[in-house]
Amino acid sequence: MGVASPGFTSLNGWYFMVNESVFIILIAVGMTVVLIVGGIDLSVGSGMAVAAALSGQLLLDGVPMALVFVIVLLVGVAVGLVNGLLITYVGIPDFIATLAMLTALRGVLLIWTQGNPVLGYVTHAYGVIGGSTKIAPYLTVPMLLTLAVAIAGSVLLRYTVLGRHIHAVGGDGDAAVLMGVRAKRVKIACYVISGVLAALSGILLAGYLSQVSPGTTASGYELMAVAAAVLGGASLSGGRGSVFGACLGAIALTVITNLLSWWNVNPNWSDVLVGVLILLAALLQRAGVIVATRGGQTKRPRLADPQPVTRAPQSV
Amino acid sequence: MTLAETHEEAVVQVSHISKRFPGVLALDDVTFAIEHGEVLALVGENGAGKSTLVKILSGIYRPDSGVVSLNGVETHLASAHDAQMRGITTIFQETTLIPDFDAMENIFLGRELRMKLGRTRGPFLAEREMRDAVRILYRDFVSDEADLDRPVREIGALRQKVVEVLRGLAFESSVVIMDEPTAPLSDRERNALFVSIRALKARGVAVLLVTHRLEELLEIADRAVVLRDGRYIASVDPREAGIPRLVHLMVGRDVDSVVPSAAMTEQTYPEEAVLAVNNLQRRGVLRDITFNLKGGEILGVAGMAGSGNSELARALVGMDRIDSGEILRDGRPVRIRSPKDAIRHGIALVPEERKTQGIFGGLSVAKNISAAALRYVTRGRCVIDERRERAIAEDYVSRLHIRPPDVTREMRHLSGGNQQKALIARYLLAGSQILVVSEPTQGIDVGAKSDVYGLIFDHVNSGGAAIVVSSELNDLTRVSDRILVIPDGGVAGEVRGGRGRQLSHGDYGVLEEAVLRLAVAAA
Ligand SMILES: Nc1ncnc2c1ncn2[C@@H]1O[C@H](COP(=O)(O)OP(=O)(O)OP(=O)(O)O)[C@@H](O)[C@H]1O
Ligand SMILES: [Mg+2]
Repeated sequence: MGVASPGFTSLNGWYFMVNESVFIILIAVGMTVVLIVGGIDLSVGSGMAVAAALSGQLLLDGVPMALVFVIVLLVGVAVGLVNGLLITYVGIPDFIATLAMLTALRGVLLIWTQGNPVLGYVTHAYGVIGGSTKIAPYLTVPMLLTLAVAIAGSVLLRYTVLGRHIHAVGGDGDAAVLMGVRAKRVKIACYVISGVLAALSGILLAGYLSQVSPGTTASGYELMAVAAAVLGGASLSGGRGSVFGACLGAIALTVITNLLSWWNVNPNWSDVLVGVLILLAALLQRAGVIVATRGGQTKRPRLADPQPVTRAPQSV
Repeated sequence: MTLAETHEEAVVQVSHISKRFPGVLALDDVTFAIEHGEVLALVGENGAGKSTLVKILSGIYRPDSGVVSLNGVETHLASAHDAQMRGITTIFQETTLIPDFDAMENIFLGRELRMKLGRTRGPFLAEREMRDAVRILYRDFVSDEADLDRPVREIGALRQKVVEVLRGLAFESSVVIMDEPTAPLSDRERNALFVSIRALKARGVAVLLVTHRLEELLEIADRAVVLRDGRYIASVDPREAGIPRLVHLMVGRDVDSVVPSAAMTEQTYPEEAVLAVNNLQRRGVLRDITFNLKGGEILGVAGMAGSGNSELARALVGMDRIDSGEILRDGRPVRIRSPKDAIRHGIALVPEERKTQGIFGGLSVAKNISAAALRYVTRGRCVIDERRERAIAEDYVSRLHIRPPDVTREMRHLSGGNQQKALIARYLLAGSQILVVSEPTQGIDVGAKSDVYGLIFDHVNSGGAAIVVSSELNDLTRVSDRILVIPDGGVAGEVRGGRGRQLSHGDYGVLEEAVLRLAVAAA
C-alpha cells in the first residue's frame, strides 16, 4: 500500500488513537482481573452501552451530573454483583452467566429506548469529561482517569491481600478454599470491579460520542477487552495476567483497527485480524513468550532475629 | 489462648459423628477428644475414615450427625476459613498449594501480614516481614534457600510438603491437624517436624497426627486413636501397646510381616544383566552411577529422599536428561531420551508423585487401572471391551484390597491410600519387563504394604525385574536382593538384601545398620 498512514507520522494521529483506546483499556483492566481469578466477563460491552445510555437519559431528565455518575456507577456495581452471585452461589459457569447478562442488558436497553438513540445531552463539561475536548495539548480527562485506573489495578493485583487472593483462586480454586481463602467473595469482588469499570467506561464514552445508539454502541467491546488482556499476557485458564500488558494490548488493537480503516480495508477484516491476533497471542503464551508473571518479588532481604512463630493476624 | 488458662474442657471434642458418602458409611458414631498440649495420633487402614474426620474438623465436610465442640462449646465449622480463624490449622493429605506461588506466598495465603497504615493494618501486603519470617521457619527444614523464591510447582513433592508443614507451623493455633505429613518426607525433614511438634506441645498446642508409619507413634505420640471401617475402636498409649497390638487393632487380625511368604524361597539368577548402567552422570544430581540388574531380581535403592534416588529413577526412564554414561539393555547399548523410549525398551516408572501424575478423578477405578494398558482391553484395536476392563480391574482390586471393592466408583471418591494402590495397579498392568518403582508404599497401610510387594514379587517371579527406590529402609532390607546405597547422588556401596534368605529380626537390623553406615561415611 503506497498510502502513508498519518497515524504513525504525527503526534496528532497517536493522540487520536490513544484517546480512542481508553474505553477499551478501562474494560480490559477489569477483564484482566476477572481472567486472573479464572473467570471471564462477557457482559462488559452491554454494560458500557447501558451505562452510556443511562447517563445521557438521566442528564436529559435534569438530574445533576455528579448524581448521574454515582447512580450509573452503582448500576455497574449491581451488574457485577449479579454476575458474581450467579457464578459463585447459584453455580452457573462464568461464560454462561455473563453471556446471559450480555444479551439481557442489551435487550433491556433496546426495550427501554425503543431502539431510539439517546442524544442531545452533551454539555461542554461532559465533553471535557468524555475527552472530546482536550484539557491540555494531547491530554484529556479519560486519559488521566485511565492512567489512574491502570495504576490502581496494578497496585491492587501486586501489593494487596485481595490481589494475592485473586491470583490464588485463579491458580487453584480448590486449594485456595482449603487454605482458608474465601474464594466466593474474591470472585464476586472481581466481577464488581469489572462491572464498575464498564460503567465508568460507558459514562466516558457517552460524553465522547455525544450520542448513544442502543443497538450498536460498544457492541463487541467485550471481545476486544478479552483480546487486549490475552495479548497482554493474561491466561484464560486463570492465575496470570498483567494490567499494563492489557493496556498495551488495547492500544495495539486500536492502532490496528485504525490502520486498516485508513487503508480503506473493509472493517469486517479487522474483526478477522483481531481473531487471528488472539490466536497468535495464545500460541505465544503456550510457547512461553508472553507470559505475565506476578513480579514484585523482593530481593533477598536481610535475615531477621530468630523469632520462631508469627502471630496469626486478627480475623478480618 | 495461653497455658495459664485452666483447661477443664478438651480443646476438641468429637461426639457421635457420622458421615455417609454414596455407598459408604465413612464415619460411624465416632466419639473422642483431643486434650490441650497432646499429640494424638489417628491411625487406621486405608479408607478407615481418617481424612474424612480431618476434613470435618477443618470445616470442609459437615457431619450427617453428631457435634464438634471446641473448648467445651458446641461449634458449627462453616468453612475452612472459619476453622482456621478458630485456631484449627490443617495440613491436608493431598498437596494443597497454589502451584504458581512461591513458598512464602503459599505459607501466608489466607493469613497474610499487612503493612501498618497509621495505627491499624491496611490492605497492603507486608512482603518483607513475611519473607523474613519464612526464612527463619525454613532454616530448620532445608539447607537450600534457593527454593524460597521459586514457584512451588518446580520444587518437587518433598519440598512441597515442607512448605505445607511450615504453613501449619507458622501461626499460633490451638490445634494443628496433620494428615500424613511424613509420607513424602525424608528422615531429616521428619526429625525437624518432630522437633517442631514437641515445641508446639510445650506451648500447649494440641496436634492431631495421621500416619501409616507406626514406628513414628512410639517416637512422638502421647496417645493413638484407632479407627476401623469408620468406627472408633480404641484409644491406647502406643508405647504401652506396641506396634503389633496397634496393627491388630487397626486391621482386626494379626499381620506379621510386610514381606509375603512366597518370597521366602531361595532364588537363582541368570548371569546376564537385563539392565546395566555405566557411569551415569547428571550434573549436580547424579555422579558416576554404575550398577546392573538381573532378570528376576529386585534391586533396592536407598538414600535420603531428595538426595538423588528419585532423580535416578527419573533419569533411567528418560524424564530427566543425562549428561553422560551408558545404559545397556540385555547387553546392548540403548538411548533413552524420553519415557516413550524407555517403554519401547521395556522400562517403566511407577512415579513417586502419583497423586499429581495421573489420577483421572472423574473416571472409574477400572478406567484408571487400564489407562496405560488399553491394548489389553480393546477389541479390534479400538473398541474398549468394558467387561474385560472390569474383570482385569477387579482382579487387582481384590489382590490389593482396594476399598470399597467397587471398580465402577469414581477415582476421586477413593481414600488417598486406595488411590495409590489403584495407580500402582495401573503401572503393574502396563507390564514393562523392568519396573522402576519409586516409593511404592507411601501412604499405604501396613496390611496393604505386603499386597503391593506381593505384586512386585509376582512381577519378578514371572521373568521381570524391578528397581525399588524407597526411603523406608525397614522394608527395603526385606524386599530387595541387593541394596544400592546412594546417599548424595553417587553410589556409596552395595549391601546384600534379605529377599529369599531366612533372616531374623536382628539380622535385618544389621543390614539396616550397614546401609546407614555406608550412607553416613559418604556424607
Ligand atoms: N468425597 C467422597 N465421596 C465419596 N466417598 C468418599 C469421599 N471421601 C471419602 N470417601 C470414602 O470414605 C471412606 C473413608 O475415606 P477416607 O479418605 O476418610 O480414608 P482414610 O482413612 O483417610 O484413608 P487413607 O489412609 O487411604 O488416606 C472411603 O471408603 C472412601 O472411599
Ligand atoms: Mg486419608
